[in-house]
Amino acid sequence: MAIVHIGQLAYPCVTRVRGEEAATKLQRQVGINHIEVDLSGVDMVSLSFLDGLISHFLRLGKETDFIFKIDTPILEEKLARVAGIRNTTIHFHYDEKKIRRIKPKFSRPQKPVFIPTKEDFRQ
Amino acid sequence: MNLDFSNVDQLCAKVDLRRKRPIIDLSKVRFFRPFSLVYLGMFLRYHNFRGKAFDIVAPENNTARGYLARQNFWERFNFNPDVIKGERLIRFTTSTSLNDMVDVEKRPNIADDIAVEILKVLRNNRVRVKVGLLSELVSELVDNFALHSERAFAVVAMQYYPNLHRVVLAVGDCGIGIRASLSTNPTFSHLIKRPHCEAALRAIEPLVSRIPGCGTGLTNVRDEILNLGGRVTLTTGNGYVIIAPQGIKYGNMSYDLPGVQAELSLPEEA
Repeated sequence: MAIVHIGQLAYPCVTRVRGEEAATKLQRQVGINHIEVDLSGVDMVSLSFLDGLISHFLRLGKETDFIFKIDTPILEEKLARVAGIRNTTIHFHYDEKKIRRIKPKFSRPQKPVFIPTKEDFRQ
Repeated sequence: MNLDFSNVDQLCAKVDLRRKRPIIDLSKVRFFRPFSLVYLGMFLRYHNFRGKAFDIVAPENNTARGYLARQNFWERFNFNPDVIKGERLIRFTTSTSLNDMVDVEKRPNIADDIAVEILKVLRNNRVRVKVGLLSELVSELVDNFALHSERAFAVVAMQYYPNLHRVVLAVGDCGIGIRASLSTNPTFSHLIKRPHCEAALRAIEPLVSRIPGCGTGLTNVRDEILNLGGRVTLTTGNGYVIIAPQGIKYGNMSYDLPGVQAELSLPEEA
């Protein structure tokens, strides 16, 4: 399995466009089969970036052919939200190497309330 | 008086735009919230773009007047924004200039660059928030401007309130706004006839974007800010949406200002 650190593909990892560019580079460098994308130790990896990266492989039907290495629960949560938004399967592992399937997280937005007169929302 | 989300639209609505040089009276303002500064700046830019210049009565309060001067408010606004030369773009003066206003020009990777600059400033000042996350959220808003506003410039204003243990960041443009942008996507074309606040509510839902298959930016902002116990204020046209732990509220502004103006307010971690 090829291991690629995300820092080799993009910095900073914040926009969807960068995520899509990183996916294209990844595809060019190592093909699209059996890749480990190492996200650990990076300052910023945004949800839009991850969504851009993962959506690229989703379009190719190859989203299950790679796994993510992560080092924080924040990254796990972001992957879970991408899995929820895209209704897809994502695999990941921390340092301990045990590969797990991410549990998708779905947004549960509250019901918005219409306020006829604008209030003072100072905080 | 304090100028903030609750009254800046009323101030703009009172300006008599039929006058050759309309007057904006800031004489009684003692304190500017970042949102109000961005909103007022975008009001000026929008009308400047249409050939209108304003006479602005400066605040009587020395601190408020000094604050506008430090933000280069007079140099930054009240002139045609689409002819700002590169060297006049005003960015963070140092990597520690925390309470600052920043010009943002539309170009590839601008959101990445702003995220890195904000990350440096927050980190150098040891502000106790999740600095990476906050920088990402600002970059989401800047990216939205770059992708959807159809205007050349936006601004970002940042303010740290050490006594309140709070960081506030505002991002604004005076472009086409959420409703016009979303309705270019045939799936959301019906929104063009709906109120601005309704379009803004749709825009914070996942996979709602003018670009099919995209639309995670504002959803991300909503979810992360709620996770962090903060608040998002989003205005577009004459609509607003406020997302806070207490709930999501929406309604109408007193003034119909094109574009999108947003404020993120985050408490420091204990």
